[in-house]
Parts: sequence; structure tokens; C-alpha cells
Amino acid sequence: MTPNDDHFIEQLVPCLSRLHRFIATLVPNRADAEDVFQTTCLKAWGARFSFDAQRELFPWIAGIARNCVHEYYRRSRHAVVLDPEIINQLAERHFTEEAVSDARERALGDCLKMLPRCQRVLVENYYRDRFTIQEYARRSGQSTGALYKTIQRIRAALRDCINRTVTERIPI
Amino acid sequence: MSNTPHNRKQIHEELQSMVDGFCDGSLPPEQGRRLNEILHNNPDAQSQFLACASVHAQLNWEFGSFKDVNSANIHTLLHAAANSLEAAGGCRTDSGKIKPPEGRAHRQLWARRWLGTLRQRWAWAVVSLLALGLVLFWTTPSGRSPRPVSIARLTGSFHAQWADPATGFEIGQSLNRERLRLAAGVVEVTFSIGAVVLLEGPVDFEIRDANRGFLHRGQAVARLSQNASAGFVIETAQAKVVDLGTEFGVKAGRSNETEIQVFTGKVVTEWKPADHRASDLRRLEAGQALRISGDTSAVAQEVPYQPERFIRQLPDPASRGANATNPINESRHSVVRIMPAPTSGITVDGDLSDWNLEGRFIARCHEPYGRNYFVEGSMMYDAKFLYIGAHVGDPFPLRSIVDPKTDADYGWRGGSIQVRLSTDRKLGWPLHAKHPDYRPVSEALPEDTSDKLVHLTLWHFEPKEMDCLEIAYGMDFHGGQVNPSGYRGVFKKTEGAMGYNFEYAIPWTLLNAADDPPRAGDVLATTWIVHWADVSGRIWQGKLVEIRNPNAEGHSFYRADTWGQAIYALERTTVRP
Repeated sequence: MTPNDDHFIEQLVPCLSRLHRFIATLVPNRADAEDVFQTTCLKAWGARFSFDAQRELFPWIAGIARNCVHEYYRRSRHAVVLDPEIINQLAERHFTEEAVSDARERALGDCLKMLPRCQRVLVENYYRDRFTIQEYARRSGQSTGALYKTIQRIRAALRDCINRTVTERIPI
Repeated sequence: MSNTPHNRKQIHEELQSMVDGFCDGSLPPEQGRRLNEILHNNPDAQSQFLACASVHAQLNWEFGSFKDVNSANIHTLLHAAANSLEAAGGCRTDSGKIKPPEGRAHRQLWARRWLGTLRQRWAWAVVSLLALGLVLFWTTPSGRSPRPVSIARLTGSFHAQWADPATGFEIGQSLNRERLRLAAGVVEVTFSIGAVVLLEGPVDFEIRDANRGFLHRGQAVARLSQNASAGFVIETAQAKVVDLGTEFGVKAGRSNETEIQVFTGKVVTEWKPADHRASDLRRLEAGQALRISGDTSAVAQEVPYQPERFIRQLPDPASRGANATNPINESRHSVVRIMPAPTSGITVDGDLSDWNLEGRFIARCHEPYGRNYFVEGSMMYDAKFLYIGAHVGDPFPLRSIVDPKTDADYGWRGGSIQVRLSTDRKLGWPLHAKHPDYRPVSEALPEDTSDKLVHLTLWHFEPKEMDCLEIAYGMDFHGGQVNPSGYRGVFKKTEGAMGYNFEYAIPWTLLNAADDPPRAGDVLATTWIVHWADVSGRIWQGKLVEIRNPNAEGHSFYRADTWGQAIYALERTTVRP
């Protein structure tokens, strides 16, 4: 393990949440997003000797991630595929708006606490993959369509809360 | 489809529904094609997509497997990965390390087989990060000893506002080699060797090692505990200060100058002049202070010892009272009307009764601060001056001890008003200028460094009863001036001493607009920030921001597009006595 490897890891770890967020915005299925995330990390590690340590790491690894997202959609058997040009345009816009996205990430924790308990439990179970929507529907007696709508309404409420919180947190 | 508000609303709702389906995997294929269609070359739709999909992505992270990974626990995860590898068919050597199969091709095949055996979602969290750790084992036959888990800890905080709101530092949190950027407030960092460092915002401080830090900008005070070993070092761009068992303060100024003040004990200061002579060394003792210039000559000179300029103790959180939050507001004003000054003239005396107050705006901080933290702001103009005045609610009025002679770049911190404005009609509104750090060099605009973008900081320096003005220009804050000649300003406490009035007359010459000052009908950019400090007049406590562009996200003085409008009013009225 060389000092350069040390330095590379030191730079990489703080990038992970941003990297994951970038990938998961374009690859919504959680398992697939984790696969793309893992592939990106492996490729970055393999290419670390080509990385100029004087530069910031994140733009470099985000470029690798973008290529991995392209590769994912090329091979994907999913019904909905984002066009390559759309992926590029969304990636550019994501980085332009990223300073705000960081503020949104911070706000999410506070907004989750403000959800009614039953909504928080639902969204946590959904995102932790504790139950599939179908299992949840069976247990709760609701239709899957109704549950999807509920999840979407909760996300909309979180989005509004985050928007309000970000507007209030004005940096010096 | 036509671009009417109704149709735009329809598309907005249609897109919302599709993005939700995209996130949940329930979007039919034909809707997927429609989604691509709407997003293509459509910035508004793309922003909407990102705002929605990013909440979904954030939730995946919040409740996912990777959230708690950091450079400290990656070693724990390495061990877990090693165990997973062993379970997948690797073997342990006598030293306990995992030995992979021989040969690169075998290792790659083994890795794929091992990855392929993982079924549990959580295990992928180990895999992806620990792909790094696995290669560490493969490429380091002799292995290496794990680094310390942390080399410092955040042990105190007072009104801390981090430059990045997303920063999640909490008291008790372990810190490693990382950069701490504090916008305001005070934090205490305790290093593992026993050194305690107080950082006062705005400050940019980097933890380099267990006994070393780098002060990029701002002020820090270091104190070694009695049990600590001597040799704690704080470096700046110009100097290195070695603690020999002491308490000292360091300031890294905006112009790269370094200042050291020794409160107790001794330090050795080393700096390197530009002519490449050997480093100069000087031992400083308690009561001594040294300043090293920020230019290439790196000249050092003794300066007056002023310990009050540094915070040496974390303020008592109990002094904040029952309210644990800072006074802040939600901006409501996007426009200020700058009225023509009365033709009869005004007297700059802190009494606004001779002002034309038709353009006044009123703003208050959120409850429970609304009653005592507010501003009633006004602006006027004539051919020679810009007038800025207000009545400000402040429980601790006019107590600032921020000395304009030594700390003008922190003039805002002890209670102040900051007004930023454009005097360039050609730039119009909204502005597009940004601080150089906010865009690539290749995309810099000439207006980023325009002399007609002006930043004014107004405050009352209580020890000398001086009404101060600090001016900087451009989004790069060049050409700074402190108390230049030509302006008139007065701060005056109001009756009951729960606030103050101020009024300033600033000549257009200082705003680089003497040849073509703003005139009636002009719509230019401006923004206001009112700062409050605590009873000491030293520690920033909160702020109010007004005159914001409602169409820009957030507010930052580094981004002029977030500034609101200044409308130079047409009508003239006489002031009623």
C-alpha cells in the first residue's frame, strides 16, 4: 500500500455519498444502483494510477460513474431506458445544481423526523427493502397501487419540506 | 401543445407522475419514451426530474448500506470482507491474512465467483467499498498496521454555522485528516496528543496530523494541556508556529498575511522569505505578537499585543439562553425602492426623520426573535451620494469590538449591516457574476471582477466610538478599503437601547459610479444582510437577509444572481415634518 493509495482512499471515502446520490438519481432501482456504484468503485481503483492527484477526485470518478450508467442502460433489460443524450444532460444539470443538492441532503434528516410515525415507518421499510410493496399490501389490506401513491405523496411532502428548509438555510 | 400556463401546469403534473413511476419501477415502456421526450433539451423539466429523483436517491442512501462508511471504519469492513472471502473459498495464512489463489487470472476468477456468491443486499455494501480493501490484501504481502481511528475530535460548538450546510459534524464526532470550513460561530477541536484548538468562523482549517494543522484562512487559538507533549504545530501559507507548551493565537488573513499572538508560554515561529534565504526563526513569549506580510517578501514585524482579538475560551452554551437556535429570517422582499433624497438635503446624524421613507422595507427574524431582531431599511439617492439608513432592533446594540484597523475583513461579525449592490446599468438585473470559486476559469465572466459590484460593511466600533465602512469590489472582493475618505456615517442607539439607527451617505466616487451614477428608472441589483452579535460584541449570533431574487435558489453573496432588485424611483415628494 503506497502513500498515494492512502491519499486516494482518503479522497474517495468523502466522495461516496455524492457518488451514490448521483448514480441513484439516474438508476432508480436500488439493487441496480448499488451494482453500478460497486462497478464504478472497482474501475476507479483500477484506474487510480491514471488519476492526477493534484485534481479534485469527484469530477474524475463521476465521469467513470456516468460511463457505467451508460453501460447499465445499454445492457439493461428494464422496460424504461434513459437515452444516452438524456443521461448526459441530466448529469451536467446535476453537477450545476449540486451545491443545492448537498443542502437538500442535510435537510432530509430533519424533514424525515417531521413525518407522522406511520409514514416514516412505511418509507423506511420500503427503502430498507424489509418488505416488497406486494407483501406490504397483503399485510395492510391495501392495494399496491394505493401504496405506491402513498409513497409518492410522502416523497412529495419531503420534497416540499426540503425546499422550505434549504431556502431558510442561507450560508454566509 | 401551446406554452400557456395551463399547459405548462399539465406538463408539470404529467412529468411528476412519470418521475414517480420511474423511481418506483412502475412506469410503462411507452411512458418511458414520453419521459425521454419531455426531458430532451428542457432545462426546467430536467431540474424537476432531478429534484424528484434526488429525494428518491437520498432515501436510498439514508436507509441503505453505505451510509455509515467512513475512513475510520473501513478497516472494520475490511475484516468483514476477509471473512466473507474465507467463506467463499479463500484460506487464511499463518499470520491471519486471507490468501487468494495464485496468479492474476485465478484471482480475478475467484473475485467474480466470490462476488457471484453474494446474495444478501447488505453484503454488496461490503463488496463495493471493500473491493478496495481486498486489493490492499492482494497487493501487500506483508500487510500494514491499521491507522488510528481518529486523530482529533469535535469537543465543543457555539453558534456554529458550517460553510457547507450539508456538513454533519456533531459534538463528540471523531475527525481525521480533513478540512473544517466554518462560516460563523466557534468550535473546539481536541487533538489526540492533548492540544485543544478553538476555531472562530469564518475559518478554513485543515487537520493534517495528530499534532499538526494548517490554517488556510481565519483565526485559531491553540492550547496544550498539561499532559500533552510539546511540539503541536499550526502552519499557514507563510509560517509555521511550533508550540512549546503554551497558548497562542494565529490569524491567516485575506491577503495571506500571518499574525501570531502568544498568550502563555513560548512558541517558535518559522517563515521563509521569498529570496530563498534560510528560514527565519523567532522565539516568541507570552505578551508578544508578530505579523508576517503576505506578499513575497514575507517581512516580519512585531505588532501590538491584543489578546482580546482572539476567542480563547468556548462561550458558555447557557449564555444563549433558552433559545438554542440563531436569529434568522425567511426573506420576503425581492425589491427595494431607492427614493430620491429630499431636495432640502439631509443631516447625517442618526435621526431618520428627515428621510424620504416611502421605499422602506420591514423585516423580522423568525420567532421567538421577531420582537427584538428586525430591520426597517431605507435607501435614497441623489447626484452625489447613495444613502443607506435603517432602524435595527438589537438587544445588544452597538457593542462591536471588531477593530477596523486590524480585523476589517471581519467587520460584520460584531453586529453590522452589509449592503451589496451594482452600479452598472449595462449589467442590469439579474446579475450573472459569481465568485471565481463558483465556476471554472474557462467560464469566467468579465463582470465577475467588475469594480461596479460593491460590497459595503457598516458597523460601529465601540471602543473608539467609530462608525466604520469597509468596501470591497467585484465578486473576488478586490481593492478593499477601510474607512476611506468621503463618506459620512452615524450609528445612534434608539430610546430604550433595544436597537439603533444608522445612516450613511456614500459618494458615488467610492462606488465607481461618479461618471454615470444610477438615475430614476434604473433597475439594478442589491441585497441586504443584517448581522447580530452577542453581548460581548464579539461573537456572531445570527443574521437577516433581505432583497433576494426569488427566482434564484438560496442566497449567497458569492453569487450575484441571488441578489434582489434596487429600483431607483421616479417620484419626488417633499418630506413631511
